[in-house]
Amino acid sequence: MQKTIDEIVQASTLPLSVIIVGVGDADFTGMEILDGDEEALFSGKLNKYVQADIVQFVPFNDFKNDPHALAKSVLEEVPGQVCNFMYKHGIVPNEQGEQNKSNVKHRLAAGVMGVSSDEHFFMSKMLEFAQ
Amino acid sequence: MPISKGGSVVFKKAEIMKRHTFLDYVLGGCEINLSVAIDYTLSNKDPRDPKSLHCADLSRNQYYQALTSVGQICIYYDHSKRVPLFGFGGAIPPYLSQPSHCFALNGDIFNPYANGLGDVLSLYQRSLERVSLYGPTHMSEILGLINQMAANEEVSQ
Repeated sequence: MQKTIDEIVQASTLPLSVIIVGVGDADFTGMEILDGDEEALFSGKLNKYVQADIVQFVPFNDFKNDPHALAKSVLEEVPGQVCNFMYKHGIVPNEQGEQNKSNVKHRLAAGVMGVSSDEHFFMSKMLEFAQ
Repeated sequence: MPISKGGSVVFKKAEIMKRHTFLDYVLGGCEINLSVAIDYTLSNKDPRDPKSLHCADLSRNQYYQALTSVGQICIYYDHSKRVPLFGFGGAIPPYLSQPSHCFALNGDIFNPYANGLGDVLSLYQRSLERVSLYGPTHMSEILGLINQMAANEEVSQ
């Protein structure tokens, strides 16, 4: 467990987010600790606290019959983590015209479970969840 | 009591900074890479057991369900749709009496990529015939590897 915490603390300065999906109904106390929403993780080896909250724990059973709630939970922290990382590193997004934005959306939707690049309802929802 | 005249605050410099949203980055072309690691510890029960979370009957397999629905959500943001796919806590041939805490599901640790979610799911399905569930759960090795991959990524918009 402590070795895992060391790696997470190490990862917290990198462009990396960890989503832990708990499958089944085991005791996920350990995963909740790694999530770090209660208490910041500390690595004795690196002698430092986690630099950013990069771990999200999702108990799959709580959401498996509700794809929208699942998407919300899975994507609860990643967008903020990306923005914080970019902000810390002074990286601003490219300005894009509407046509380019629409191209990006089509490219992202393509190849997801073999759906064509046609707007798939669920896929188009994905971007909204991540606002 | 006299009412004080009040003071004043002088701002020497004011700047308006736009706080960009995730969507700004994604639509601006920011590319995100999805990596997946699956837990093959025996606490999930043997795939031949109908109660196994890794049940060989995929309609009962909860990992399959979770990979499908969470995978669908995450892979959306991955431009390449090439997903490094790992396992941990299982024993892989030819060493079936000791666990590996970091292996590639396609058998090639130098090129552990699955092409799209369909490939992720079929590699997972195939792995159930080859990987013996073992234990214990050690996630540090797999995280260490993914850390290295992230540290080697160029970060830009």
